[in-house]
Amino acid sequence: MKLPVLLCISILLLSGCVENSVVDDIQMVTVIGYEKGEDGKIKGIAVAPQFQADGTIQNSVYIEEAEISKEIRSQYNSESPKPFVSGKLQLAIYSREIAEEDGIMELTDTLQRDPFIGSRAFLAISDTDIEKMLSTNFGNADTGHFLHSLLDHNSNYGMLPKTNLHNFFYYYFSEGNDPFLPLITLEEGKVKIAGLALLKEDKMVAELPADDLFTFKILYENFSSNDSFTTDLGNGDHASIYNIASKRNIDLKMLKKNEITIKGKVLGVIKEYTGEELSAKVIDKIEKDMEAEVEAKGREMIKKFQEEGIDPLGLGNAVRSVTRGKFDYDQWKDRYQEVDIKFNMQVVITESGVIE
Amino acid sequence: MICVFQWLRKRQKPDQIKNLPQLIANLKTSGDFLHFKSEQTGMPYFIYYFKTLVNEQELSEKILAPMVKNKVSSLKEVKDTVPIPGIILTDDLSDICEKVMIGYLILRFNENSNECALIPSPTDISRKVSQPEVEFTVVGSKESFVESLDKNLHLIRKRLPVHELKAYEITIGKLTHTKVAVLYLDGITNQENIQIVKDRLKGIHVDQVVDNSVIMQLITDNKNSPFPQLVDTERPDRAASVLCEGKIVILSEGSPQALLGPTTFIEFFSAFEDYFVNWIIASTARLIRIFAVLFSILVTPLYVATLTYHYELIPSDLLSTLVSSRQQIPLPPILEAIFLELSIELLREAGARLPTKVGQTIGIVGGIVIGTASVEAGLTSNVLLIIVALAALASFTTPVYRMGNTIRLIRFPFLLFAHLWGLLGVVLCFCFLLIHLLRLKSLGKPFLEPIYPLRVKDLKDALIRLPNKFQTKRPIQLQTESTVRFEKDKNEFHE
Repeated sequence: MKLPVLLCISILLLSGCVENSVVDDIQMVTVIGYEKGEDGKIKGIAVAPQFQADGTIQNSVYIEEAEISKEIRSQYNSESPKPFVSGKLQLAIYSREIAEEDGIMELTDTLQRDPFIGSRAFLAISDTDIEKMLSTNFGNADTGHFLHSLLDHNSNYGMLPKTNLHNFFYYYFSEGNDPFLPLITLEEGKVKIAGLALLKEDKMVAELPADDLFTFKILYENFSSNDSFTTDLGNGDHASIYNIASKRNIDLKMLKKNEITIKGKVLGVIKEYTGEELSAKVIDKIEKDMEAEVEAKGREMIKKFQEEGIDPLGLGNAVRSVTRGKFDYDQWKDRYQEVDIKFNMQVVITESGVIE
Repeated sequence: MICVFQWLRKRQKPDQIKNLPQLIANLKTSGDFLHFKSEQTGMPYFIYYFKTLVNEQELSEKILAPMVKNKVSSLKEVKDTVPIPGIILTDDLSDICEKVMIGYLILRFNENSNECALIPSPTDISRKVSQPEVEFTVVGSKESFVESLDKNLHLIRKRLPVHELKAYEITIGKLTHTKVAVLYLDGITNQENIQIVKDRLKGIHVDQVVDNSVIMQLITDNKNSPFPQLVDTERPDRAASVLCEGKIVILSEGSPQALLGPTTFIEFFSAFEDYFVNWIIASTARLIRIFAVLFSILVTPLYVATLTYHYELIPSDLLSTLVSSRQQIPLPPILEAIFLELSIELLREAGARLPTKVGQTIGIVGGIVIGTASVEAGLTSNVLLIIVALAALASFTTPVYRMGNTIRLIRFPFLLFAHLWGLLGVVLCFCFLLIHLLRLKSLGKPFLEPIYPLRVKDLKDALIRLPNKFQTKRPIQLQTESTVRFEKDKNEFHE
């Protein structure tokens, strides 16, 4: 008899404490953008999709300015008929200005502390006006979901290295890594991945153009991609390689002699060739040309990283992982710029088509 | 209650009836009690019987004809002449009273003596053995139990022609005098189990036993549980089959269902057809049924919990479908869900109460009118309509009808908890359910076996059914006296 009474009492007393959020009575922010406002304030642009009964989606854009980012949220609530919730946030965009001058950590911290926000949300830096970008309608789609898909499929199957909230914080806080974020632009009503923003601590210090992403990805991680890579054979002929599978290996055996070798191995299939005949000789040449091209780009890139003192490839972390005892990060930071980092590529063409 | 019993006891032992003539005078007050005196010259005799209980054709052909022919003049001669076995010569009043009520006729020569012959000649107006309707299978036997205990026993004995098959009979019910038979295989079935059933049956003191279901409710281990703790079946082949496993079968007069026990929770999800098909197909069917049960119980509560509390769990692609279908609906998810669940329950209940032909229109009214109209009127979302309909459909996959009812019922507390505490509430409610199931017993044996207590060997015929060569041992659950069903080596399994 005791149990049912206790159960009834607990139901009556406890259920009042729970705050519910019925799915059609809330304003779900899917993308949020931060720009610099007037008088040192921060301008926050939030987009919440409005799902209509007929299946269409309208995007409501809320723009507010405040001293700190949390205050912006309460201002949103004063404008909206439904309470704002953050659980569906899929993307946070920072203007290049903020990223270069103030650093993004202050604004990102709130995303990390909010338990409703998934660690797979994306972060990005925008080259162009965010307000304009987020006010654009991309067909009958929720802007946040649209932009999230854009970044998601490009990092899964394209040339964009994998980035998300979790990775950002891992690289930010761990020793021997520096974070990087995708750089996006709005061009003629379309959002495009313009490259990669490289950060030191939480400030943007350099960027990689979109053309260099392939090389960066070879240096950075193992991947397989559906994108193609085109190489110029010099005599006016071009070859396009696709179905690329790449493996990266960091050789730290010569670390004592201050030497690190990054080995990249790429397997690919020739999809398009503008020349006459695709003989074994030509294939060999294509392989050699591509190796040379990527190696040159990669070495240049590594040099740039060392000059800037950033380590987006995580070499410091790789060194830490083979260091016995305590890893002295400050010492490594000094050493990093002097280390001779080599890059060797191997390209293997596995198929060249069935046309004879 | 006690007063009623005392009153009944008084009624049954009438003090004023002291001899046979008084008894007959008492019986004559019923309109269907016939009595006549023979026209035979010499020794006249008197015959008394209920015409509604006695086979009158047999009376004239087998009893009266030989008596006239042989000019019978004493009760002793009756017993020798009439070609019917089981004739009793007695002067015991209570015996006479009891026998005349089950189709015996009273024959006597002296109108003042208590001495008489009781000749059995009962009519049999029970239904013929017909096809099973609840547990119909496409392949396999098409016989099902009927309302006669003797016929039902015959159906089982036909399948198990061994002397080890024992039927312990007991009469229950102060007014109905229902014969109940406990069937078991001597030397196989655990004696303790048999004793439990016998003791529990002996402990029943009610006035009427209308059906085996009443017995089931009276001997079940936990009477406050919504879960049935004994399987009921209308298939004699299933009853015979579980007898071989070492289970006990309870039959009762007037009930076309047999009770099987001790049983397990999993057994409620195994159809007898599982044994007629290949083990792969049978196992798949069982897994589907288990999935269907979980789906049926959990899907609507999960919908309510997710839409009320956990919007962040909904995939982005699904979000627009869910939100736009709920956009016009003024009710919170819980009311929406209860509204639909109740209307499905109403439809089912109405369909069960109505005659078959009218029942068909209920399907149309339910499916088209209520479903479509409530979506159009903006009372429920079409997503939920699909979910509730699927959940209802899933609950009908349970092979044992009683379990299906239980599953539909326990969805409601889940809904309430989902509304109050979201997924946490669903988990909490599931814990309550699990604790309840863990505590349940079937004839004293754990109900959740072989999952808890985990008996790996019994898993051969639980969630999945393994091929025959693995079924050499009887279930540990039943603690049988002889554990080996057959020897594997003697079989050629053609491998």
